[in-house]
Amino acid sequence: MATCNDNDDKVETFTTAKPKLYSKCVKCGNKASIIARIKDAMCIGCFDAYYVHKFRAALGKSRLFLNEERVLLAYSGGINSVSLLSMVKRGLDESSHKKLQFLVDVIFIDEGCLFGDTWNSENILMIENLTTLGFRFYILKLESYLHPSLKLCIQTFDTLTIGWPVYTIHLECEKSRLLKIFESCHSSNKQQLLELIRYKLLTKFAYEFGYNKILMGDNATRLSTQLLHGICRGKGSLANYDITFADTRFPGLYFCRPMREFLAKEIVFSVNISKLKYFNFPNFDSVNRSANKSSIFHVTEDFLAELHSLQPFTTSTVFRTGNKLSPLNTGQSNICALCMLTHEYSITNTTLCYSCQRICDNVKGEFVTLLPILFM
Amino acid sequence: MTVQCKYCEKRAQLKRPKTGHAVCKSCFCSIFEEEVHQVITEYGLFRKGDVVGIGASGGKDSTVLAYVLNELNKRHSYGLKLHLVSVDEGITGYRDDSLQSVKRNESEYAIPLTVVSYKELYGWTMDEIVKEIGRRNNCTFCGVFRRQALDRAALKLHVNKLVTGHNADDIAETVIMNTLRGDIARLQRCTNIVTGSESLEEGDLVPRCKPFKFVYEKEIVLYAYHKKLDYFSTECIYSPNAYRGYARSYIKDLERVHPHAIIDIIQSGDHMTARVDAKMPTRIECTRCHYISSQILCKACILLDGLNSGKPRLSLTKASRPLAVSKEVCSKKDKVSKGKECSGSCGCAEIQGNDINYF
Ligand SMILES: [Zn+2]
Ligand SMILES: [Zn+2]
Ligand SMILES: [Zn+2]
Ligand SMILES: [Zn+2]
Repeated sequence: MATCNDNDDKVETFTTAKPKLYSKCVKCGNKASIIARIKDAMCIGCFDAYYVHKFRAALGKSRLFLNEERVLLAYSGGINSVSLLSMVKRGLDESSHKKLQFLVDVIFIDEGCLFGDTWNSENILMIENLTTLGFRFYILKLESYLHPSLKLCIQTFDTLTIGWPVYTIHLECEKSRLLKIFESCHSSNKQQLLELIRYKLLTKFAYEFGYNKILMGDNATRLSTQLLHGICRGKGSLANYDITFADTRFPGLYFCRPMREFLAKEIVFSVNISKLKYFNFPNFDSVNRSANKSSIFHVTEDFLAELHSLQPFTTSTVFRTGNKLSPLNTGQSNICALCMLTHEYSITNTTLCYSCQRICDNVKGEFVTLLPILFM
Repeated sequence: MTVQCKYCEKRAQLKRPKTGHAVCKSCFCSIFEEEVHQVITEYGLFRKGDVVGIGASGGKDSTVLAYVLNELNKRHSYGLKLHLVSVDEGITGYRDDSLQSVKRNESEYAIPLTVVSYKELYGWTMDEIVKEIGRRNNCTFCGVFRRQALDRAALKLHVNKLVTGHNADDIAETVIMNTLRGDIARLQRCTNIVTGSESLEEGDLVPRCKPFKFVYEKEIVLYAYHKKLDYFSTECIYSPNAYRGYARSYIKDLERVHPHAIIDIIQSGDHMTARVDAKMPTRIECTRCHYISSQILCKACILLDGLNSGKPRLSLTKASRPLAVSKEVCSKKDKVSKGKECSGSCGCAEIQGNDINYF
């Protein structure tokens, strides 16, 4: 129907005028050097204060965290979790009344098995960085998800031993099973599957080790992409779970996203100001991108980024749309075996929601037989 | 190497865009028709004796719709009385040409045609409106006016159902547009296969349905090509909606990666609900034209007022103002956590509260 649509009487126009360059900090009037959001130019000091305040506000508003509670922080070494960890660290180092009241342990999931076990000097550096921060941390191989006891699989580091992780247990069998599952999954679905398994592994770990909150580093830019991506994958209102502050799909467990209101750009600024080192370990997104294989996720990411550059409120509007969605409260409770969400779709002969069903579509034989392993 | 048709002995001649199946020409056409028939029966779109108005623009979608509906009506004895309804917006070089192709359809398919024009309904042609307001917002005028025009024609003709040629691509695109706009109310209903009576805001008097909800645009083009249908394929000369253009090419990109994405987006749209209960506005009549409205004056009358008084821009903001009556219920929890009473006109706190400062 050409570019005009009968059902549509709204027409957007792009703000063609270049945004005025604000040279003064909106907070203190000094020379501004950071423009993360249009009309919000700030000097470095004010930006840092704003960043910290916003982070603390997000935690405080949630009213979820108890005094002295041990909370898990999912650390990937990427820019978001590096910033998250440093914010937490600063919170813990604050003087009495401002001090964060809960305690934080860090978990790093080693996904190397999917990308040729590339444990290298970067990983060592990451561990060194972590140890200097003084957190208790765990390293867990992704394939340990298939092992009956995570207690046997973890590698803990205290501040004294730095070096290559020595796993006390061989996970060769688990590794080859996991690889088989990924091999048989369609390339454009691999990242989705990886994220689902990562969530399930974190859950399993939290259950086994008695944590009930996990801090995640997702930012607004990433989450809006995720939301739109979810819509493109038939998630409907369930896409809301991917972006809420506290994701409660796993009973007795909160996946918390305290960075969810930061734009990616703001995180970059903050990390650069504090001169934090971050790492880019491979994932299927980056692998696909460098192989020039397009995926629904890439197309969505590029689309939003382009639109955001033309219309600076795009990310936030999409994000808010997601916040307004509500998963249906239908009486029947079909819990999807893969993503653990209660879904409303009644597809016969399956324990999967529409979207997970699609991930598992078109897969080569073996995947289907291996899949039940994941439903734990 | 020859590939055999998935459904018969013949050689496959094309790959179905929707499924990727190799099919021959005749199987493609019959599957195409059969799938539309299935949708019509599954959703109970029609009843025997319905007078169905087909919104005909002369473009590929409505031309194929008229053709297929006519065929199915005969083949499966739907017992429908079909009627082509066209709106003449008064766009020289576009609508006058496309109307010619609708007129040819009228005689080829032997379906009566009625044309209503903006000029006779509103006293303005689109050419005149564009002269007045420039090219920037003309699509808004056109959209509001067309909606009403179809309804008015339908009433005049005693049509009790309107069908439009919106295809799966269009609907997916609308889901994306509404997501990008944060228009949750529309998001909830934009994939409905039948709209009308229940959706007041749109002001439809006559129920509308979209039998092509699951039909891919590419397949419509292929079908029209193989059936050698006569349609008009120039785009409206006044349609500069760049924003929609972006959404459109996004859908095309997604389709290229995975054709199923279009259906997945529609599936999403079908299962999207708002977190807070949106109170539906009460229906009232426009005090001037008696068209259904949620304000004292309907959108068309507001826009017309603007045109006639020489202040069309002002009327644009008035017409697009959020409906006065559509208050979203503010949940108690929000009141407490934001520490302030909700003002009542609500959005609620989500929109008025902290978030807005950050975004
Ligand atoms: Zn300042
Ligand atoms: Zn699922
Ligand atoms: Zn055939
Ligand atoms: Zn009126």
